[in-house]
Parts: sequence; structure tokens; C-alpha cells
Amino acid sequence: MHVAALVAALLSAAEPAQSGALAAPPAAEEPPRSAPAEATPKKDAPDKLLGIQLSLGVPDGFGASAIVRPLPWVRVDGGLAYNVLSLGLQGGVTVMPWTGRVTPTLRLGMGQFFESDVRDEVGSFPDALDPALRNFGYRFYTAQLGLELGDENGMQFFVRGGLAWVRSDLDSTTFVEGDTTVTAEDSDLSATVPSIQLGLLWHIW
Amino acid sequence: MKNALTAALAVSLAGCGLLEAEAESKNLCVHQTNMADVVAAPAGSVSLALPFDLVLDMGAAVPDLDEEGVELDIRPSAITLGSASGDVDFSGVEALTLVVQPPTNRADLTPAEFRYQRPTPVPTSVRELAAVPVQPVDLAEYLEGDALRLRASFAGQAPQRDWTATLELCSASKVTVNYWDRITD
Repeated sequence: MHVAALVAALLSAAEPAQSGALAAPPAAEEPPRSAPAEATPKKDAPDKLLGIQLSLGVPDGFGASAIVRPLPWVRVDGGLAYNVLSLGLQGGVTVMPWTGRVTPTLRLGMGQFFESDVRDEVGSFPDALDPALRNFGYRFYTAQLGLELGDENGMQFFVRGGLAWVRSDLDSTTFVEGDTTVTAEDSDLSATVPSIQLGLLWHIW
Repeated sequence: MKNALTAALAVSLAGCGLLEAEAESKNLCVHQTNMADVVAAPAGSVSLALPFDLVLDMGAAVPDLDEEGVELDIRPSAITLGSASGDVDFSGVEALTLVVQPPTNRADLTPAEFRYQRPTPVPTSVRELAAVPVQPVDLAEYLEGDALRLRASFAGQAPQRDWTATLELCSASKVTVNYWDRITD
């Protein structure tokens, strides 16, 4: 009886030591599971899917778009545009070879502006084209290289530059001036211009 | 240094077609009525040259070429001579030659010739004569102000009644505006 109690007492007294002794090796041999995440912070890939983009540029004017980032290295945008003369739609795809506080980008975009009077803007074209330029809508395509600065999961400022191709098919026109009638059929207007765009990205969700 | 850099950039941009707009019409027709009153040709005449120029007003079809950076290209497909009344019979005309005169200050240009040849078999009624260019030509170089001057001569029997000439020029036309030239000037 006394021997049993003594053994129990000895065992209970030994347990903390044993625990400590037993515990120490795991601490030395097997680091706690949470340690890797705390000790070595991993670089988070951008993980927000949706956001908005506000932009100002040539030839797309003012833009307000929704953005979707299905993969960390690609983003799709689409929304409204306003070039002072008319409203339009615009969108694009941006590819980012790597992401960070400074992110290089390649964006291919396109858009369509609805009809407006552009005679005073383009100037220098024959009077015979006035009827067509009075209701002129155009589509454009852009290819731009850029940089995005800021938090890839928050707000970023961007600047892009490249080329834009502007195209429009003109309506057939008939223009009468005195004894002269001018008809123009199968006409189009095109331009190649530098393209610049500045703006903000806000990754929200 | 700044001017040299600007000039180099202008040349490279112009060569690449940047800052450039282009309007093109594949079928641009200028039709002018009441060009000139032509007296009846005598019966049995075998040739007749009109003793005056036909002046075709191209004002509405061409831009202001005095503006910097504006270029024009006019490639004609045909010049058609007709009558204002529409009922003058040209079936007696065997051939028509229309010659576009170069501007007085362009001695380097030769007149541009357009020809109509009556088809065989001879049609019973011909209301207009469509003359085509003898060789490719850019009529933009022949503009004097906003007008083209033409001389007309008939082979065969010209109309034996007084008539008022009309003229229609159809062409492929292209206007190019280089905005860089305007910016740098």
C-alpha cells in the first residue's frame, strides 16, 4: 500500500520532468506548425478579383470601367468612355508579366464612340464629306506598354503609352453647291496616332 | 539642338504615318451642269474642237491645299460629257478627246488625255460620252485653284443642235492630313 502510494507519488513527480523532457525534443526536432507562416512571410499573389478603373487619355478620352482579374497576371476591363464629343464604350486586356509595387504591363484595347459632329475637330477635309462628318462615329484599337505603381491588392496609379488606330466608315454623301453636285461613296476615315493613358485602379473585392 | 531633335522626330513620325489622318473615297464624282453653251455643229462635219476651256469646279471635293500638311490624290476613272437637257444625241461622234490642261505654273506637266471611242456596232442613241484616261494620272497636280481646265474635241459628227454641256469626273480620291506638320510649324 505504502509502496503503491510511493510509486504513484514518484510517477506524478516525474511527469512534469518527463513532459518537459519529452516536449523539448519536439520543439527542437519539429517546429510548431504555425512557425513557417510566421517566421517566413510568403509573398501574396494579388487575390482581389474585382475593381474599378478611372482613366484619361488619347484617343479614348475619359473612361470609367469595371475590372476583373481572373488570374494574377491578367486583367480584363470594360466600361464607358467620353471623348468630349460623344459617349462610347471601351475595354481591354492587360497582361502583367510579374506583379509588385511597380508592375510593367502590356494592354490591348478597343472602343467605339457613337456618332457626333466632328467637322470642327478634324478640319481640312473636302466640304463634300461634311454630311458624313456631321454624324461621325469611330472605333479605335490601342496597343500600350505601361507601369502600374502601388498596392496590387489596393489602389494603383498607372501610366501607359503606345499607338492607336482609329477607323470609321463614312456614310455615302451628296453635296450640292450651285451647279456642282459631289457624291462620295465607299468612303472611310482612318488615323494612326500616339496613345497615352493615365489613371487609377482600385482593387476592391 | 532642340530644332534638330524636333526635325528628326518629325521625319520619323511622318515616315511612320503617326499623327496622320486619311480620308478616302473609292468613288468620288463631281457633276457640273451648265458648263458651257455649245452651238450646233454643221452637218457633215468630221471634226470639231470646242474653242474654249471647260472649267470643272472641284471646290467641294478638294481640301484647302494651302494648309500645312495637307496632301491630295485624285485618280480618275472617267470623265463623262453630256447635255443639260439629257436628250442630245451623240451617236454621230466617233471619238471624243478631253485634255486636262496643267496649271500655268507647271511647265513640267504634260496635258492629261482622256478618250472616248464609239463602240461597234454603232448604238442607235448615245446620251453621254464617257472618256477614260489614256494613262494613269493624278489630277490633283492639275488643279488650278479649285478647278480643272479641259479642252474637248470631237471626231465624227458632233450634235447638230445647240446644247449646254455638262461634265462629270469620277475618281478614287484620298486626302491625307499630317497634324505633326501643323504642330511643328
